[in-house]
Amino acid sequence: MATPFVAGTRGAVLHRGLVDLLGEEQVLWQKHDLQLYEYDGAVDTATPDAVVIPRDTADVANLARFCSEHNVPLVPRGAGTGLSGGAIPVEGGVVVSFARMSRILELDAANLRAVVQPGLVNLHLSTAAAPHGLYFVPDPSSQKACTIGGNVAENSGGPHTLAYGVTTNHVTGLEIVLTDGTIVRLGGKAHESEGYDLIGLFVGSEGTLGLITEITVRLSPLPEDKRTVMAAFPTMDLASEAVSAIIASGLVPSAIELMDQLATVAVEASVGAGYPLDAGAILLAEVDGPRDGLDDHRARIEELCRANGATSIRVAETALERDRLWAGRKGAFAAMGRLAPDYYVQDGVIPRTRLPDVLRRIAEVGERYGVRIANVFHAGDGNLHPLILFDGSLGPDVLRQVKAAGVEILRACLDAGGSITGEHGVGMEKNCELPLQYGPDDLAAMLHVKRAFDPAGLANPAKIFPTPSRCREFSLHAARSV
Amino acid sequence: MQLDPSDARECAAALRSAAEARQTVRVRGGGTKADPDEALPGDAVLRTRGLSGVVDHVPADLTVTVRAGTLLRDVQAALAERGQFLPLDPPHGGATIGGVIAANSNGFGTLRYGAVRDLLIGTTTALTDGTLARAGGRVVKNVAGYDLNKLLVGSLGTLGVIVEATFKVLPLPATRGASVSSATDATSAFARAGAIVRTSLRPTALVVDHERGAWRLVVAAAGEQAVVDRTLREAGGDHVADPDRLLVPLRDLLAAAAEGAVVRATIPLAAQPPFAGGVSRLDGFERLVADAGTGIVHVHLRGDDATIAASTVAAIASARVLGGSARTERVAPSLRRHLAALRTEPPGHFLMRRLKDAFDPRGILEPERSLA
Amino acid sequence: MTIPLHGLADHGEGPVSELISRCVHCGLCLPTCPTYALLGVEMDSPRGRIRLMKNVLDGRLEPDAAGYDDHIYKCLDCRACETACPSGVEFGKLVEGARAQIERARPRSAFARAMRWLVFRQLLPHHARLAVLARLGHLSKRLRIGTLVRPLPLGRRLASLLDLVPDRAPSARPLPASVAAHGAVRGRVALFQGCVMRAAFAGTNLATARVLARNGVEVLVPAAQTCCGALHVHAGEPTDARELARRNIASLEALDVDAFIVNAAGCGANLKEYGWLLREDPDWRKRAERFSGLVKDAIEYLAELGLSAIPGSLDATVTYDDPCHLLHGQKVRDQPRALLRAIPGVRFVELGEADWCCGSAGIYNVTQPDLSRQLLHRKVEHIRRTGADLVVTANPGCEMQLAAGLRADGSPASVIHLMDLLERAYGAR
Repeated sequence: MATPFVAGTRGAVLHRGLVDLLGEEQVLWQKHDLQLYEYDGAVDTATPDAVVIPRDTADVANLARFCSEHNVPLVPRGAGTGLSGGAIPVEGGVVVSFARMSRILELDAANLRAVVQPGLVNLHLSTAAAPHGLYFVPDPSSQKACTIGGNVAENSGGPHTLAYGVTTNHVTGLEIVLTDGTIVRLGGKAHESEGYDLIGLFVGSEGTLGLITEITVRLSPLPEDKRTVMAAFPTMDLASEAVSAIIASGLVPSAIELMDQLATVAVEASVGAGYPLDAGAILLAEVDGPRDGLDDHRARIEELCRANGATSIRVAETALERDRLWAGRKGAFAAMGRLAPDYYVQDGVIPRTRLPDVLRRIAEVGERYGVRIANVFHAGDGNLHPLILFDGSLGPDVLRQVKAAGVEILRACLDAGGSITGEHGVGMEKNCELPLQYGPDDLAAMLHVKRAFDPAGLANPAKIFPTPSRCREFSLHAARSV
Repeated sequence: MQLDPSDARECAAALRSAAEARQTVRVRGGGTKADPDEALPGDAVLRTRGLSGVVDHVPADLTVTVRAGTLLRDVQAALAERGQFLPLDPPHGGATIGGVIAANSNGFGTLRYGAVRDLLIGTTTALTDGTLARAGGRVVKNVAGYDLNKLLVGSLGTLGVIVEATFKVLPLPATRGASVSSATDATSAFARAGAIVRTSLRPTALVVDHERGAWRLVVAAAGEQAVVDRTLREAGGDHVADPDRLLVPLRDLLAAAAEGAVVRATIPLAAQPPFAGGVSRLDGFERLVADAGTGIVHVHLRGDDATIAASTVAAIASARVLGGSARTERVAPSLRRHLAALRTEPPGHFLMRRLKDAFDPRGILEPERSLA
Repeated sequence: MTIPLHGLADHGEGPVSELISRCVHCGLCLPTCPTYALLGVEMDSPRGRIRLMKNVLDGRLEPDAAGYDDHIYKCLDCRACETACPSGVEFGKLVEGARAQIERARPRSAFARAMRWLVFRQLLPHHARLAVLARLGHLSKRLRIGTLVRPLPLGRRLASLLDLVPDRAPSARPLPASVAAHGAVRGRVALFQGCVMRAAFAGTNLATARVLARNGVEVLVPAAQTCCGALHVHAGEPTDARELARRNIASLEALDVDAFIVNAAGCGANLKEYGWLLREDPDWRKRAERFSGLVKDAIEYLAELGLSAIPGSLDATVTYDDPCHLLHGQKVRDQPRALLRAIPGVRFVELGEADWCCGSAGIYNVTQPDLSRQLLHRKVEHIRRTGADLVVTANPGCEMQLAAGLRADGSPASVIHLMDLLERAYGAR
């Protein structure tokens, strides 16, 4: 935002006011408690002035009204698994934890919908829907822990969104609370709603437009069957060629993932899925849908892999084997803890045809900065996840260097015609880089939306958009005058 | 007055001049959605047909970027040369891409391929302040900044003029096919449709059609032969090699119906049988076409003005009671007055108003159509 | 005898920083943590607790802070987070280290010190005293002492403790020194009897020996062995635990056996970590590692060996509740299910949230009775849904807790150790 935030009520006054409003049980204020809400799954930290754990929409609305009167920012938090600092209270204020609003309010199998609270864990929804033959499509790698509210805020993806879309394609209703305390219900169980698509705007707005208190999502029929193929390639280049060949063939796999050798080693130590450790790259592809023709698809994928230099191919024979292959992939980021104390993950997207060039540029960045970079990514939709490994205990300079390497990687993605983030969000991690992707006119149009929903600027401030205080080079104002 | 910009910058400049002059502007693409008498004498008409052509098609990336004034059918022809297609099948091949986005115009393929909002990945829009605002991009996954693409879909030109758009495309399916079968009543027609929705077959059309007392289920499939065969086998009925023979008339008939009124309802899936059963008994009921996989139901009503007005009100009320919404899509000019009272403010209306005011502070764009 | 000032630890250690740095705070552990599910705050999640430890390490939090003590002790030490962690964080070792650190830093009340001294020094290591206590407990239960003391100060805790005492009278009969293998000898093992097991569940020890014997295993029951020290480790008393470990190693290591067999999951997990416990003791580290390498849960051993004798048929619907320290601590999951399925007539039903702690967690049901009760309630609900007649488990603490929960719920289902069930099946042949 162009105007720097002026801090509102803090400390004891804030704490007393919140406790009076919501009760002792719903408010955290002691230093050692607040210190535990200063991080998420990424690398940035900031301490909140208070944490509120609401029980229901009314709590959230009361809280918002109070904060709006006292000029206090509101920062929503799901499970704190985010990878762009979305839940970090960078300007202080109240962190709103949805840990106690985690119920499925209605599982409406007849309408293929579920109405859920924002704190519900993603996988818990699919588990509950499974007896009805249904599931919730978006499957971020953190789906065992991340919340649906967080998914909506970040417009999360996952390996299997290649064929079936990301979160925004699966939300039909929202209840939101604006920062002035107004409760607005948008959409419902129908396919569309009247007027502008405010739901489409809200999904992926990273908490900067208001707080989500209820979500209606689409449930999809579970695939009748699946085939999962793992192929090992001597080099990442050959594996990328295989991905292009699969896409070009007209097959639409439900997922195509790639992992380089460094990542494979860590993942194998974590789950023992049987990934070959000597391969330069591992490709994981899945086709699902009606049983008819599925084996044919699998055979074509195997053929294309072999034609592009795969040295070994394994097809998951059982559900257990498939789960194990995926468990490795899904736990890949966190498995980096086995290689280094910290990692910094980027989330750039590139046109799929540019994979080999951009991966080479990433490797060059790694060499130049003297850091190890592991790659685990959604190759099917060109969504890269370079993981820069480092040891944060060596001091702030290390993190600065690592972040600089990250920016170079983002530049490589943009040069290839891509985006700085495919599913993790901009947050406070890349807000200074957003102007590299969008010009001042583009950002000005986006800010119309911000002001319409949150005129006071209290919803998750200093996220998405560059701030003059934190982005010296790229503040909105500076970018405009270029 | 007519404005015929030949590129994006000209388009933005024309809007800025109009705004400065407080001149109201109607945006016209293929003209397939405009009612003949819609533009008032004082309005300028901005025609987008000068902004046409495919900008970029990268088959291996499965994306295409086109100027907004390009006809959908021209885009499809260009894609087909490289064995691909844009999986949108709205009524009127003569619609422009910009018009398809602004009107959120979809066909029966939504269940399988998604709607406009799901396929659109990037836009450039001319705004009334004379700027060009980009949103999204040319990559299939992108969460950088707000998703203004979604805001534009269905905004009917009230926020800006779309000048360029990027879509996800797909390889043309190997095979297509369709089947048609009759059903005894709404319940059984929708039950059979619902059973197919709950499989992983993902048909390219799943339509319940009701007219003159007869209920029909039309199912279309595309892709691998084995899957198409199985879909049609499970759907039952008579097979038709060319799905368009069945689907195009169903799709265009209602859109083209000049007489009477067409009510478009969007309701939860399970609400379709009671809704269909109810509206089919209304006075003046002519035909119902339901996209059974999404719950988008079109109802054509005919008769004298009083009958149509009463039945329209009843159909819209029924959709709302069942947890959905409805509006009239086509309505004879003489009826508009009767139906004016039906306009309600959708939830979040005040937010829509603020958005409209921010994007078009002088209120020059599509004055009659403001969604807010 | 003097009661020390700060817990019992004369020197302790904090959580090891290399283990802390393995945590990349991804949050995947959160939904597997029972206290996070109940309380919904980061401080009562594994990730949050590790951050608390890190904050102490970095000097941002004092080790004697009340908040540190509270959240570290609210942890069940069930180690479900270890199973969930892709980075391989060994949370059990961390939380046990943090407790030792707290015991060193934080003065306890005279009463708490006295209790610790009594339980950890005067009771657990002395099986004869435990046996007396077990009989006293059983007597108190039969005399309904619980009802009498409930209104008194601390009476509620005592009463809930008595609720846990099994209905069955503890067996006073000592086990024979060895049980000969039936038929061809396929193995030779030593049975670790445990402290609570020996005092209150001697029948299960006997059943374990018999089941192994029926499957061709010669079972030695060495007399010279003591409490494994698991409860000491969990309560932040590693010094005492080390002493017990040394005594056990010294008396058992010379035996010529294929394995040391344990039938209490909590003991097994601890015995397998003697190497870690004594890692800084140059004289004992190697011996401890060798000893730990030979420790096997009876279920694990038997499943690997394979049954040579087919059990008799039991007509029952059976479910299985994973003891945390067998599942998460020792990664033994499929073996008990395989053994259950090997019993003819048994209809096995998977228990919802079988991988969740029942709330027993060593002495958690005494130290955190409210949270423990909520977890038990949740467990009993899941058991009800299975419709099982028999709830099988493999740890004495879980057995007592589940039985108490089912009793209070008026459930007809009964709880049985897998070894007891196998012995019953063999008897039915």
